[in-house]
Amino acid sequence: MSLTLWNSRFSITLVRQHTTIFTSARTALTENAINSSHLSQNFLQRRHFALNLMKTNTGGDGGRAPSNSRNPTNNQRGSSQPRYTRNASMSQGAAGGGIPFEHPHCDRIAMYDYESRRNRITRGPYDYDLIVIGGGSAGLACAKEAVACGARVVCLDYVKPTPLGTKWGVGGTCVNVGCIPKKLMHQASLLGEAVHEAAAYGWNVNEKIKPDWNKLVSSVQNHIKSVNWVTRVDLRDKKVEYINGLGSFLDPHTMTIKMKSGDRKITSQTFVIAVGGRPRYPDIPGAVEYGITSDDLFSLNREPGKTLVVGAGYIGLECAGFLKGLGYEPTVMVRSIVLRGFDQQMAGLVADSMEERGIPFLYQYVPLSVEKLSSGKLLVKYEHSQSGEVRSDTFDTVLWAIGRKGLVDDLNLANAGVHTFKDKIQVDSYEATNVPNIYAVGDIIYGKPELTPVAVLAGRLLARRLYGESTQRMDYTDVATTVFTPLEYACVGLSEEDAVKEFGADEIEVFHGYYKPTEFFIPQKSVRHCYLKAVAERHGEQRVYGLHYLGPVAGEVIQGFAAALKSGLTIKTLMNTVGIHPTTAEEFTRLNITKRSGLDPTPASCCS
Amino acid sequence: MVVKHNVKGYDEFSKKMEELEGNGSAQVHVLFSGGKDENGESWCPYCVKAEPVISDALKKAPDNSHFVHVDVGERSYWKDLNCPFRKDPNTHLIFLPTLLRWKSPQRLDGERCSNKDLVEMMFEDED
Ligand SMILES: Cc1cc2nc3c(=O)[nH]c(=O)nc-3n(C[C@H](O)[C@H](O)[C@H](O)COP(=O)(O)OP(=O)(O)OC[C@H]3O[C@@H](n4cnc5c(N)ncnc54)[C@H](O)[C@@H]3O)c2cc1C
Repeated sequence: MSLTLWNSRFSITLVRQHTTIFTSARTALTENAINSSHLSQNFLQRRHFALNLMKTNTGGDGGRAPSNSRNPTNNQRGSSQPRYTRNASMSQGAAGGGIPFEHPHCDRIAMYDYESRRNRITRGPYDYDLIVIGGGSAGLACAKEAVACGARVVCLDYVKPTPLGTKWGVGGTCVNVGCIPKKLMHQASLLGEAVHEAAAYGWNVNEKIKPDWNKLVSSVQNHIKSVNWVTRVDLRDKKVEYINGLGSFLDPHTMTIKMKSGDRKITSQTFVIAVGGRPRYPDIPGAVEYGITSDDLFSLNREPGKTLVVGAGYIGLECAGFLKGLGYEPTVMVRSIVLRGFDQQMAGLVADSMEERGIPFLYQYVPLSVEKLSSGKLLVKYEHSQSGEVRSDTFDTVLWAIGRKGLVDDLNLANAGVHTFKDKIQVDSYEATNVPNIYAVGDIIYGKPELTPVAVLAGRLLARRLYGESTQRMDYTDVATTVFTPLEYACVGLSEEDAVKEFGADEIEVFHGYYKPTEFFIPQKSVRHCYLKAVAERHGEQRVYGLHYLGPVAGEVIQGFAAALKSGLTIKTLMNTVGIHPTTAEEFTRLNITKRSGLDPTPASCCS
Repeated sequence: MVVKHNVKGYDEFSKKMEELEGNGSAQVHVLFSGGKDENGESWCPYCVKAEPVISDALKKAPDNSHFVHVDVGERSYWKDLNCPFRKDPNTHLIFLPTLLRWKSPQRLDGERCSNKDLVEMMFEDED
């Protein structure tokens, strides 16, 4: 067994190396292909070489690294764990054994119809059936559903102020300092762009439009406050008890709650930990004193001005994007790669599209210190991570967007015996922790997409399994998401590199194309980065594994395709779908050029 | 004690709010409901249902806060989509009755105005 494991890990490494060759060869190819439609001899040779290498390595059983969990014929090869069963099988022990769940494309039954543990509503020795810790996306959904199923529930929520003193109401990250204010500021930025375009469309607009930061902030904050109010009304209406207090464990069934009015001890049969996370600060001088995070930005009481955004995850890029659109000068500092975890070809295009709009990227730099000058400006020193070269520049604002930390520290999890893992909590496919009566859901769980709709659905399903008749588990795969950069990027399913990693480059076909949105012509907007691709099975049914779209209203475009992909979309179906004209979403129905063909993916004419 | 005011129509309402705002920062709650005919009967059934609940819960409102009951007018006047109560950015009324805290996020409308729990929450809310 251990040999097999070792073996398979070994071959994964090897296959990764091949795919690197592949991807780099392919990237080079796409770049060249625009000018020449001939396959480079070099590429063919390398591909041949890689294929041979792969054949030799897939001889043994353990060598089936890119095992095809989506192809039913491959499933009896059970010795290596396909990507989608790894988590489930890891958790089998805790869940008490049973059938592993496969990827939903081919084994939905196992996922949804498997007997799960159910908690009886006890009315036993405890104050409550359920204490939900955290009143964010996951916690509120879980608490409301549990009450609807008849459980006695209390939901705790408490927000510690940021170092700058920013605090907010009930509802968690998404409503207060996440999705909602972010999308509103993105919209503000898009509107500015639209006003400029309006002139080309014949509107007489005053050329000198400028944003009023304070007005924007107060509009956004007023909206948030009314959402907070509606949340509280909803909780009261649905008879969910809500306590504004910080919870920490005394033992697996007891919690103390720190409130304004003093401490209180309560007991419960079951707990759901839904505490989410908060932004990290780097461990460098001046970071906490002078820097801010997304927790402060959306309510900042002064214009951000020239801003250094440290971090190129989606939050950093989105903030830089709307700051630019609002007329400020953001610079993005990238330690290693842009949009880690996303398809890297698309990530590169997103970064390029931002640079084209005048947002500088400092690649391979890490900050060293932040000092406040007598002028009030912030002096930031930073270092090139390879050459060690040190540079400095002054900014009005420094925004840390270097990642988020799970809020495990205040919970005193040791008192309850709950294990943590890299400031997150590991759960099995029932969202159960290592302690039988304690569950975790939302951003706090390790290794799952950190998105509001994921948190909401997982929280609701958990409550239904605990107190309702349901056995349905959360399906964390193929979750669509959008990066709200000035040119938006949305995707669902596998990235190209993950598909290659899982199935092998030879089994993947990528259909791609650049396109020109109709409404971009008149204002002469750049179409350089309007690009999309479908990552699919190369042979057989040509299942679509992933869809990627860079362009306007990306989230609206991808949401429907996400349902199609989850229903087993194939390239054939996609090509036989009639588009809606003129839209940009219809470009998915027009994809016909494969990367492998080396043909030019740029459109020949504007509106064929 | 809560200070109560009764006004009728948009002009009286705006004048009253101006006057109260001039008075300083005391909390003001406003209830908008459909007008009554000469027999004291309202065309708006939810308003009728809400009134006793609200006047009972008013005990929970802070001392020295104000409560303004606005008679919006006849049904046909209200149903006109250009009715000034609908257009005013501070009221933006969509439903009757609506109970709100002036220039604050707190707002209840329709059937929720006759939910004792929610109405008390409105008057007690500290945020
Ligand atoms: C800038 C930004 C933009 C985002 N944009 C998007 C987007 O566009 N789309 C999307 O889907 N997702 C987005 N997200 C992610 C989304 O906000 C999270 O996935 C979601 O909020 C997770 O919900 P949750 O319930 O797990 O945690 P949270 O919403 O963070 O809620 C946890 C709550 O628990 C409280 N809490 C913590 N510890 C305790 C304790 N001991 N006692 C009591 N209460 C406690 C916290 O203060 C918080 O209120 C964004 C996030 C950020 C930061």
